[in-house]
Amino acid sequence: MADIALKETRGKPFQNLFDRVFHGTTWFFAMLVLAILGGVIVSLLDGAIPAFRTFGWNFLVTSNWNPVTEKFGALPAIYGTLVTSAIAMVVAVPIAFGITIFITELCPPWLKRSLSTAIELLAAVPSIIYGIWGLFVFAPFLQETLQPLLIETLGEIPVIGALFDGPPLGIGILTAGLILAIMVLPFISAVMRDVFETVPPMLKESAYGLGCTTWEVVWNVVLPFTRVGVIGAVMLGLGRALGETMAVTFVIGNAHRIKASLLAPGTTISATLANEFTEATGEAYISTLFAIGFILFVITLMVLVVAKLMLMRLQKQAGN
Amino acid sequence: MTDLSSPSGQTRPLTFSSVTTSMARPEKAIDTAKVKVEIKDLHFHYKKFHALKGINLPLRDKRVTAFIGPSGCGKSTLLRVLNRIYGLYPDQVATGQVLVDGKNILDPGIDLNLLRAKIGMVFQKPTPFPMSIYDNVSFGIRLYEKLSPSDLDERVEQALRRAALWDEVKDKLRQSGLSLSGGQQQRLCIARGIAVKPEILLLDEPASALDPISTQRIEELIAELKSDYCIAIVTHNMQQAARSSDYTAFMYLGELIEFDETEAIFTRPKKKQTEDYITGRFG
Amino acid sequence: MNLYARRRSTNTLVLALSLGATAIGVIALAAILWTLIGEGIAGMSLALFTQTTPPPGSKGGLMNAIYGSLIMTGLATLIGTPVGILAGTYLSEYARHNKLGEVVRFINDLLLSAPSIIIGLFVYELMVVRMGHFSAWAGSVALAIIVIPVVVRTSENMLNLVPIALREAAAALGAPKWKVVVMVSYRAALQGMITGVMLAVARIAGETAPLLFTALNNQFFSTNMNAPMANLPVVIFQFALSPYTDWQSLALAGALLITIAILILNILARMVASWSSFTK
Repeated sequence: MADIALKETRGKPFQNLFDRVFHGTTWFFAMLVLAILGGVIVSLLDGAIPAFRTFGWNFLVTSNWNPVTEKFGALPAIYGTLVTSAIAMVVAVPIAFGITIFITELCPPWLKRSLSTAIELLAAVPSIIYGIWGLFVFAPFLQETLQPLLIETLGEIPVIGALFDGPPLGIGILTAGLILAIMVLPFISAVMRDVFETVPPMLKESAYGLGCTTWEVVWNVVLPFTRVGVIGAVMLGLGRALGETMAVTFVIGNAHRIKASLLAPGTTISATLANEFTEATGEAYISTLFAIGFILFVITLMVLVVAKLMLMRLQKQAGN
Repeated sequence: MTDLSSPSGQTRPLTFSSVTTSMARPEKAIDTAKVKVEIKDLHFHYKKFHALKGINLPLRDKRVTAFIGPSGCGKSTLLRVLNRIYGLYPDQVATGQVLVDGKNILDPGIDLNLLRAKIGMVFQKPTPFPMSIYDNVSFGIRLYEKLSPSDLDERVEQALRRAALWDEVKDKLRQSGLSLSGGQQQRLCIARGIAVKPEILLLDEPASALDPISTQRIEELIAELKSDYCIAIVTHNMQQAARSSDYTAFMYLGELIEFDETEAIFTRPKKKQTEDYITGRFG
Repeated sequence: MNLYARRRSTNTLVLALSLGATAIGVIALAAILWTLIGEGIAGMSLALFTQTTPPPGSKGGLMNAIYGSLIMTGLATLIGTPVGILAGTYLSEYARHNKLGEVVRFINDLLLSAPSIIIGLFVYELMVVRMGHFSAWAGSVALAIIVIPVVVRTSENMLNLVPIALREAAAALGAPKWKVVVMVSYRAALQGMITGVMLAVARIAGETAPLLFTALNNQFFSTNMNAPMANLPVVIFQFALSPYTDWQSLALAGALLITIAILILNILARMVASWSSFTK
């Protein structure tokens, strides 16, 4: 509407020129946004190509990590990235879901506002804070409490036992996953709350009007209605967890090994980069780090694209 | 204004007792239908706003009672008190008494789920749940009864027939409820409401979002359902009220101005405000 | 009413679980803040702001790191804000419903959530490799790239909230489009855009990963933008992982400082947003 109205204003020539310059400038900076993403992909690929050439597809499935002989494999870092994120999601999603139900359906209005604000503020706390807390408080705490307990109980069961084998070190894959869970918790809760609030009140009232309990309204009406958005929220959280650096680096232990046990130290792509990049010497080593960075970017990009598409579908549906 | 205990003979016959005793019109038989809901001195507050100011009113079984009045007069609010759906919003408070079969439903000890199962509600806009047509109707039944699949099929069919929708959807019961037209969706919601066998039906401007043909079908449906339920309908459409109700309550600014048999309200209104409103001289 | 009893107990159980979940979340997050305050306060002193980072085993402060963080955050905001606002203007004023706008919007959202360490790698390749050394410039650019998508997103949203009628009214007076945008839309959306910029500043104030390979760190006080520069997040990272208790307590004090700054920025941003006439 505005476009049509504005194009027809009779401008003096120089105003016309000014309009074009302004339009062009804004267009340029919008294109800059595209160029940044393009630049990120090109530069990562450029840095990564020597490593991909040297190691080929084997790079993805081997677990060597020897800077001296310059033999590298990305598998332990990829494995650590995926497993820590998986732990984070398994722990954080149900808790975030519970928090969201509490905030949207249960809690009294005075608490609702302060709880919502608190969650949003906590989502803004930088990840290095979670990392430092993990290192000084959470890891020692787990070492003394949860980990011995897991080793004594689940560790004794035949097959699952392998996951909880070995000494309680405090740091390791499990600790990193749990820290990630705590970090993405406020984030997922905040997005999920927004998603839940797209349900038209009248729809919820109709379900309550039939005599549904709160849980039945959530399960039968709210969740089906917001399904795509909830998945989007979870994926967005997953995207964060996969790429997170600081919360993980402090507590993962930085070991390029794949152990069955979740209590063992490991590494993730981002932790490897944070720990080793500035000290890396030699083209092969640096190129390898670019290569794992590229892999991380591809993984997170795929997750984020799916998340965005899902959230966009919810918006369209809510707009109707 | 509608004080039941007022000794003054001049107060309007707004309550059950006064309708049947003091003001019964001689030319018509006294309505013997049972009083299903008795509203007594009902006040409603939304934050600081006093939305209902001492409402007294009976709703009779197997009769349609229409609530009319300008926007914001409290007619929808009154309806939302009857199944306590307002309780979802903690800022909203109702005081007074609403007796359903003699039991005060404003009592804090009342089980809201059971209450709401007994009182069906249909909203201004169709609200099909995001599930199939069949599941929309069976959803409420399954909440309270464990039926065999064939019994459930039967109940769903019954409800859809009752809502005059069966012939249009019998071949596509598995399709999403959202695939239906607006009028069909609204009838689906009515079917969903009556499938749980409620005793009272609350209709909050059920036809306001519908085209004239769908509106007519809804009105026919109301006339038909009247034989089984106590129906309360809020409408901004006076013709609709005149056509489909037995009793009419005119509300204004949170007060009940006049309550009487529909015919009386529309032919011989006793209050100036009522007359102004039904003749259209009123904001 | 067996069925009903079961439904009710399911409901009670779920609601109790959701209460439990909320409790877990609140406790975990309270524990973090508690540690931060408890340990951080011990390290708070005037020396924190007046002395530079010490060698291991001796006393010192974070003055050089605080300075570096302020400079780089400020510079990143100066670079990122105009870029973000202009790109957001394009999306809202010129490309609200076209394909190109949709693509830019989508890519911007991807950048918004992209791992920040990747941005660090990008700027390393873009600037550090070419210049031959780490520098405060590179650190600022890396942070600016994180600012841009945040500002694009909020400016676009805020400009979208400006009623079309307001623009039409200005245009009807004969104002050319650029004047309408600058004098009407920007003015109407000002508070919202300020909020966006503040949130972006809060976001980069604690960013560590992109600075690791760009600004690196510096033991000493430096104002040279062409050289590595100390900054709070990287100092916290290195000191916390060190075995020296002096360094560790400085790291905790720095962490408290950053958290307080970010929380204040967020709260201020909320206050500014609540004054805005177009946000609810």
